[in-house]
Amino acid sequence: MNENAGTRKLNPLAAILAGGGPSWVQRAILGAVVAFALMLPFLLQSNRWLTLFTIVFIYVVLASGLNIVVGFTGLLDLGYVAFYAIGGYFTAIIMVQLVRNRWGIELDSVWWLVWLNLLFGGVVAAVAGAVLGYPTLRLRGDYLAIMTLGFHEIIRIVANNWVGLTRGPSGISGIPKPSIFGFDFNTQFRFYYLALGMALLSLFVISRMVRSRIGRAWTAIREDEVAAEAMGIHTSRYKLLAYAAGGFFAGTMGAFLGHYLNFIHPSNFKLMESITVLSLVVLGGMGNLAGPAVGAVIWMTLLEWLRDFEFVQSHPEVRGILMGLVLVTLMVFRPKGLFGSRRVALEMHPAPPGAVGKALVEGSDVE
Amino acid sequence: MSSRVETPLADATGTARPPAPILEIDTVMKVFGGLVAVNAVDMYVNPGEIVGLIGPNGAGKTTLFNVITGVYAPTSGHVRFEGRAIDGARPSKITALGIGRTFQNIRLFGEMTALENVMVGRHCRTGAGPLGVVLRTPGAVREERAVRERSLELLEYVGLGRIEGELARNLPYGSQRRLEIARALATEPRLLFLDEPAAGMNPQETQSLVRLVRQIRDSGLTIVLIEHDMRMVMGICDRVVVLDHGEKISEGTPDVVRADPKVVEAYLGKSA
Repeated sequence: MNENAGTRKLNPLAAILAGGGPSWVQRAILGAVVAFALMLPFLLQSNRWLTLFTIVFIYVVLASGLNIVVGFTGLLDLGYVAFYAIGGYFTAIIMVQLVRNRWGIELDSVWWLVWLNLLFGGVVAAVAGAVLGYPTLRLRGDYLAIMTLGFHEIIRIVANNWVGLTRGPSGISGIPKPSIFGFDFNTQFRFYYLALGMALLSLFVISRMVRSRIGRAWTAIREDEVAAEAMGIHTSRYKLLAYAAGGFFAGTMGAFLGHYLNFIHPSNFKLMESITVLSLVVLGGMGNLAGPAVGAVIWMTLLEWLRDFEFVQSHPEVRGILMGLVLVTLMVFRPKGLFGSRRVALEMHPAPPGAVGKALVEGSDVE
Repeated sequence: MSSRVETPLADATGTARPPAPILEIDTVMKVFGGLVAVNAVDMYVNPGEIVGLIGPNGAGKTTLFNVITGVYAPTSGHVRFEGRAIDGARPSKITALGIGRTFQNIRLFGEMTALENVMVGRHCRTGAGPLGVVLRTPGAVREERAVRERSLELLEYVGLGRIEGELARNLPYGSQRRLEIARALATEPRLLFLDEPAAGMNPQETQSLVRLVRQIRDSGLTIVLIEHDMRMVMGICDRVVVLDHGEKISEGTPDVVRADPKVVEAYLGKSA
């Protein structure tokens, strides 16, 4: 594939990790990873690790979804978890507050609604993404970040205070486990596969989107918004599409979380969650398909594994400190993240003097 | 195309001005705060012409480009493309109508490959939506293949064959300028604006650029170019418009403009 040619002078391993290399190698690696993930529950035989990986898969999707917004389109979003919350509360309110409490319908009889809600939790979050994105269209950088931070807080505060709808700080419990034609997802083992399936499906959809004219439009906006518009890309529309697409994946995972935990609570969606997801994107590598997913697997596993240590148990803040330390170290040595793709190639082949650097120095006359 | 009433009249009265200009600029003004960047400029461009837009630094050439291509809305006045008013429209809309452009300070998508840059230019001529690209519908697949083929052709056309996989920012300067042209051509413009395409090029590069610009014109496009390289301007332009301090001070064939004392004065100062 031609899109990989920019990294062709890297050493082969780095190139493959960066999404380069021959496509059969990529496919083989992908196949091996999926096969390993499918076998993992049989190897582990431990509910604790299955729980961990179920959560990791949620973060894989969250990081990959946020990557659409931050990595590919270049819009800094500090409030991504708001959409996760919207998805979670959507299904909780529909299933528990509306269907069971208001209409008095037995939840077992509407098992199919769970699956619909996974989809519509995403759709509602996508609409919210576009609606919330609209006023930010003219903002960039710091201002955009502050506004998205505000959205996050609005959603969280509404969840905390609109007791009639969300039951406020006591949260909504009794969200049913998914089941399909009598097959209940009631064990950790089954949930692992459900989460894995959702993660693979999400990654598949995201990868197709970013490798298309839509993905090119997003990347073009990130690289130079004025030029993107001049090439005929309706930049506002595609930014909203990025927000909506990012929101969709957060929304489905929020709904999934609700059905998985059977319980939704405002503290599931704290600001720290947004920051964690953003950190995963940065750690793994922005604007790179595999980066955030692999980053999520590595870091979430590491952070959970740390809980095993007595020292960490008595000093839980150590995990945050470690994450910060790793972030800072990585920013010094690999500013584009673990799997930062193209920048790596650039550093090995600096642009000739007077090339783009010159254009940058000359500044932008049309800003 | 426009159905302009004066078309037959113009012929009948034997006006030198050919029938339907592809672009008409009607007393366009652009004011930034207290600065009048473009002051009541009238200008037209006929189909198939190469028009040069020249003037000292700060004369308002790039601002005028930006007004025409929609980056700025004019403070007053109108821009008509093929008879249709386009002033105030978004740049993407204007591009879709058939006006392409390059930028003075190269604005390529640095971390995309040369090929991807050109493929972005095909955006406004394609229509696959989210569902199409996720499901890889036959239409979307066909479209993507066509985009790739056409983009490779265009790279070849501007003399950048075989570097399609290089990142745009790693290309040498002259190639970046050519890539900008290829990207603009990918939008299928009928009118192409080139903002200092030869800036920073050596004489050989400029020569081959001149050949490329002529070739593009001969393929049926109309070209407006801003350029400081006077040899290039005088060599390829059918007509030249001179701006100074935001006003049009002269207009005509290269020979007429060169001999115009006002132009000499603008460039060299009074009583030079």
